[in-house]
Amino acid sequence: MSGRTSIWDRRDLWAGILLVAVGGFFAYQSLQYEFGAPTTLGPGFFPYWLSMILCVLGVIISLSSLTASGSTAKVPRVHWPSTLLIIGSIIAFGVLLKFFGLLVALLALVVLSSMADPGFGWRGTVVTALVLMALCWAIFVKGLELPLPLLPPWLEKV
Amino acid sequence: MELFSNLALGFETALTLQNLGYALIGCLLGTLIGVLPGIGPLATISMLLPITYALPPVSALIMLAGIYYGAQYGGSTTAILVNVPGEASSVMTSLDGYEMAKQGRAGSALAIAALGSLFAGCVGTLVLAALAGPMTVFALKFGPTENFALVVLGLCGAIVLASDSLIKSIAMVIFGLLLGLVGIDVNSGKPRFDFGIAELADGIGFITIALAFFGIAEILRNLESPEDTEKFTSKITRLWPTRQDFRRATPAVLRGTALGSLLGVLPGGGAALSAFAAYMLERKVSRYANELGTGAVEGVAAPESANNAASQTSFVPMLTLGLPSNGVMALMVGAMTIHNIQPGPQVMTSNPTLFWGLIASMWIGNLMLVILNLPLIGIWVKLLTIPYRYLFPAILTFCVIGVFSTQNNVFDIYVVAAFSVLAMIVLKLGFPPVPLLLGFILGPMMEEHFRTALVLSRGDFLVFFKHPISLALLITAALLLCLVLLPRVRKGREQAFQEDA
Repeated sequence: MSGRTSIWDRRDLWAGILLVAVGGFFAYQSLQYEFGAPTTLGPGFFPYWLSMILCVLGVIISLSSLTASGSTAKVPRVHWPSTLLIIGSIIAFGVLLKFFGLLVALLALVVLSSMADPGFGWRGTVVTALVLMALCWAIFVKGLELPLPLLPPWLEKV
Repeated sequence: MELFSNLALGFETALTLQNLGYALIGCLLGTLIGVLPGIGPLATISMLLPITYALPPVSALIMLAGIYYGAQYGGSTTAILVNVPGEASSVMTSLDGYEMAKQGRAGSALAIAALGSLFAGCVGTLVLAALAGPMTVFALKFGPTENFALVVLGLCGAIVLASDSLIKSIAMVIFGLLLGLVGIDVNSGKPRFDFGIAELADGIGFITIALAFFGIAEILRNLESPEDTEKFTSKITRLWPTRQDFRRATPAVLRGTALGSLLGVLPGGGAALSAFAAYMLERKVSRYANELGTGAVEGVAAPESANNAASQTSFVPMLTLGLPSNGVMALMVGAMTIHNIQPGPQVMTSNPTLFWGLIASMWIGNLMLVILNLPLIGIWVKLLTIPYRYLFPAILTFCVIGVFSTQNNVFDIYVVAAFSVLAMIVLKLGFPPVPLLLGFILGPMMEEHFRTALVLSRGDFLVFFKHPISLALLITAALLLCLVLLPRVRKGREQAFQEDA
């Protein structure tokens, strides 16, 4: 039955590998901190042993995925377009907020993220953006008085 | 009696105009997100946390609590009317509730759900108020050794009751614990895992983690699976249930309330688990068990009362021991820490107005929900017709502005983006997210207790087994883990597993 599917398709194999990688990384980093004596534990002790447990768990998960009774779940596919657009829109917001202010950043956030939806249309998106701009201005800038730059900082100086 | 004077103090706090207002906002928001599928209390509370910086702590907690139990009400409305459970905790309600609606008894189902929830909410809050005192007195005797064991027990319980794969949950707890250690080590003053980045030396904000795992990752998941378009809304003809409905619902409400109150207190317990258990109990003991699934009023009354009772009593371990039993409670702990209140048994004595004010606000909030919701049902259902493509940009907006405003630093926005990618990978590989959040919140506390206990015992690692209370707690934790491995329990768990809010 499993003759056709490669073991590299097993989801839990990768789940285990991820844990070993994370555990190994934290353990390696912990080595540069002192472990201390039992009475006065240093900053390295607790994270090091936690990381080690994580590695062991990772090995167990990986190995058990290869046994006959292991979970046969496959590695799920990632929907790249929507993922990249959403993550990209967050980063764009961060970059634009600093240099162009809240309104521009919001427009970019809404337009980019809306493109991730298959039912994307310009009219609806622009309306959403305008509504959200008005809401954010009312709630965050006026209502809660958060120090958010509304317009580009270089425009306000003029 | 002391309880009454305490409650009087609580009502005095909760009944101020400001706190009433925040309770109302919380309840309305909770109902709103309860109605809307695709956004739950976890995401909402993490989005609103940054905003609560500006509020007094009592008002902040009152509002956040309102969101949690308000979501239970909202979730049931859509479960009954359109067969779309807005929250995991109302999945069971949709089984019989929607059948009732199809038979033209939607009003009756809604009213029973609301009244049952009100009753259960009041009882649950009473249990909370009554248990809080004794629990606190007990917990104040705990030293670091016992506290360490308590955290271990809390984490084990949360894993056992609330998620699917045991070993993956444990792994997520440890991952969370490790992430919680990023930043300055309090004992040595040394920054850990900061890679020379100044922002990381302050630690990772738990708001960033919560938003990535419950806000953004949720959006990514929803965008992958196409929207459910079938939204049939049934008409509500009469709202008041018949006498027969009342007679049949009453015992079910009582059973649901009792079970929910009990399960809520346990670590890992919470609204979704209780609703499931209550429905199963009805199947076993109800005289009308054979009608369940075909529009039996018991099938609405029991799970609805149970989830509401549980959402009140799950505050018990959080408020008295500082131990969050589910994701929402972990966020409440976080909300307290951003206001410099160290959660734990001392809260009751050092912040009595906060403690009792929060409890009293729950009665007021539950009452508000019934008064508000029954007439407003039409509006809530209309909201369901808003397409998701207009909703998620709004959710994203609140996420990024919220996280920016915690420190007025763009860096945190990038951290959210990075953790969202991590969250997506981790969820794709079948890891549950709630244990990670619990571990993250409890990590620093756990290390602190561990190290202090060792200092006090002069470096004896066996000290945790030498103190009787600590030993008992650890044995209970071990038993819980073993219990899951029993084949029968395992089967039931696989059926029941649901991420609890």
